[in-house]
Amino acid sequence: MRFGALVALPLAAWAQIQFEDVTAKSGIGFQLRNGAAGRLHQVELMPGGAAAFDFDNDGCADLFFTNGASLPSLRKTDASFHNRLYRGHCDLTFTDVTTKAGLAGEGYAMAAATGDYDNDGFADLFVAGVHRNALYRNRGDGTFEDVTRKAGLAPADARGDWSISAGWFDYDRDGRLDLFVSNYVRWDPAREVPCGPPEHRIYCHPKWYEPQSHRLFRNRGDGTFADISAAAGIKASPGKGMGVAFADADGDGWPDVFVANDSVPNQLFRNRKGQFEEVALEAGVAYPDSGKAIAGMGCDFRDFDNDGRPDLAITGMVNDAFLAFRNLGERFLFEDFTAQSGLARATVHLTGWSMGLFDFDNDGWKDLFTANAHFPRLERQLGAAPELSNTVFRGTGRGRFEPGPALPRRAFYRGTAFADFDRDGRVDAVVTALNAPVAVLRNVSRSEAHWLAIRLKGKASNRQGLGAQIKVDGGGSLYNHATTSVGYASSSEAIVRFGLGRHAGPVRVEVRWPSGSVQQLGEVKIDRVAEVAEP
Amino acid sequence: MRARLAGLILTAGSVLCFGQPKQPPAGLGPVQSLIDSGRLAEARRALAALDEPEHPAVRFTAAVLAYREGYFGSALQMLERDPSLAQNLDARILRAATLDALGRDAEAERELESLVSVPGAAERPLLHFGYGQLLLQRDANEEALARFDRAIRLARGHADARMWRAIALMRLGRIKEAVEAAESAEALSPDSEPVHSLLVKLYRLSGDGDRAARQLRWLREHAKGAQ
Repeated sequence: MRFGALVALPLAAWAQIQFEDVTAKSGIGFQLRNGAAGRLHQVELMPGGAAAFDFDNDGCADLFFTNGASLPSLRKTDASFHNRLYRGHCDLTFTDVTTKAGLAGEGYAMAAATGDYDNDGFADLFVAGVHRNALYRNRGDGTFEDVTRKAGLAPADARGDWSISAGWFDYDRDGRLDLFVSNYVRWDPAREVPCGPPEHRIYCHPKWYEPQSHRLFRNRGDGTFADISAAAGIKASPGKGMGVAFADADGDGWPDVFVANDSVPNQLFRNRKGQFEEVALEAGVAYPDSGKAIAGMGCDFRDFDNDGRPDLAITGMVNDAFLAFRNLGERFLFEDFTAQSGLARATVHLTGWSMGLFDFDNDGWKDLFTANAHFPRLERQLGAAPELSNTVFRGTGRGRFEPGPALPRRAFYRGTAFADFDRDGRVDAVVTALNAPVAVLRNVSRSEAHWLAIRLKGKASNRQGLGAQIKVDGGGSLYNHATTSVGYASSSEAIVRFGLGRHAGPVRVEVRWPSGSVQQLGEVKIDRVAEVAEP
Repeated sequence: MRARLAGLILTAGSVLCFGQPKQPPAGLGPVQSLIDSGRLAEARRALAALDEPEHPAVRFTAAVLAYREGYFGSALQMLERDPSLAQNLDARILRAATLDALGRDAEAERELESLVSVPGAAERPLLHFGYGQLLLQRDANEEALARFDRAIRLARGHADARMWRAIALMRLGRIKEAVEAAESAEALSPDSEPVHSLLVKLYRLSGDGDRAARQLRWLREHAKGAQ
């Protein structure tokens, strides 16, 4: 049974999802700098990610931002290029603790991915970037150690990958988080191609750059990683990777990988007991029904129609529309649900970057938040300024969405970090913007809806329980799974959230752990963060 | 940015019927040929050298050129600033295509909806085809199907209309008919990747794994050949 009947509150009660821009009082002074100096380097378009994670385990979500660097040197020549860590105070105010934490970083950073790879109870941080990635181990005392080289994650040569996104998941179900890195194109600042007429140069289309293979690093469990991209079947399928997301799409217990690609077909790596096969065409998610690749950006791989199967949402460029693929369950097949979902008409005029499927109004249906901006220097193409507002699309049931009001401030938005920063049961959002302040958005949606959040503690499974599939029953069923890899270049809290609508009583919870064990919990109290430990 | 209704803009040279007492400048024909052959930079230079830049046919050609260059915003400005273009059928078609390219699909749809009943326009298969695509976008699958049917009646060899007819049928759950429509598109356009990609999905939906596998092999071979 679906949750729809359970949450059938009068429409007025759910009329709008609302966010208040609280950036000015948040204490966050960070501005994402892309280092643009008129040369139109391709990398300038792509930063940068954000991460919401509780690095100090105080119960308050913290924030990390990646940042660019000078061009063409790709060096952080001054503090304005530093990556930033902000400690959260549970009220949407934050304190900059970058220096103490040792996370200022080096090079041109793109993405942040959080996960407790060493199972010590403290979430660690991977920072993906241009020709340089970094792994920071959380020591648990407010500081991080750069273990990139020790872990075997330093690039083999100076012209390493240009990594745009990354994510942690336990691909081989051995209880240790492994790392997937989504790579974009081969790029060299010294060989930038000029595009557009001489009087008005524009950033080049990705077709001018060679695709790259993504990478899968297996966690050996001793602090080091093995690059198994070739052996596991990842390397054979290069792409122009942007966002990456994980879900067990076929219900076999093994997490699959989706990569949104820029202007080439999307990729779905089906996990067959640790070996991957790229099956996006067969599964129907390589392209929309038109058969034309979109400029895929961010993605989220979650069940948006509450049928127990993870679906896909993908942002794209103006005239692409943001795609919705519904998982049909049978034969590992998805349908292009973009028109039926309402997203085709609601988003065809937008260019979206990061995004996330969360139940912002706690009515039982996941909603879609998108961080938007057209590409810069396209005024002649667009007939309008390229800066855009962010948008939220309210899930109205069974995979359908309707647009909400545009959010405050137009900018070149990019990354998103989602978490309940003020612990009021509503998911907030923080959005980065190129060469502009971030947007700290407090969820102030009016709602008497109930909710449940679940923080997992794995034992045989990885410590954060990433990959665990959770079903909540309270007269109907809701589904979600634990992942931090959401959107574009970004990472969100590992806590798994459910909106319960007007269901005020306790609920039953079923957790399918990545280890394979299934845990049943009855009479779980709601309107709180419940800790669930793997038996 | 991709222009979904680009097919509506047949050729710059096919659209110059402005009922103007004055003939367009003699150099316009070569400009149109350059646009039609994709030599857009040369076309722009040649257009700038024409004697009568204010002639409606020249202004229209400039808008077509801007559209072809992907400067949809500029093209729309040109079309909407010029009252002499407001009632011209071809300029209205170009305007609809431009609005669509800008993601302003509701406006594009309104323009196409009004155009399909205009004498002279109603017999253009591409107009029905483009309108059908916009209808599909708002999940109006039955109405879209009718438009694709009309486009095919007007141009039986229109492979794209047959492919999109198959998509409309698929969304209506009429899988067997969708397969037939897609196969007819494949027969007309055997090298179309979108058609083969659609056939993979349709064969899988209809449980015909062997045929789906054959389509996949074609797509993979084709991709290798393109590298």
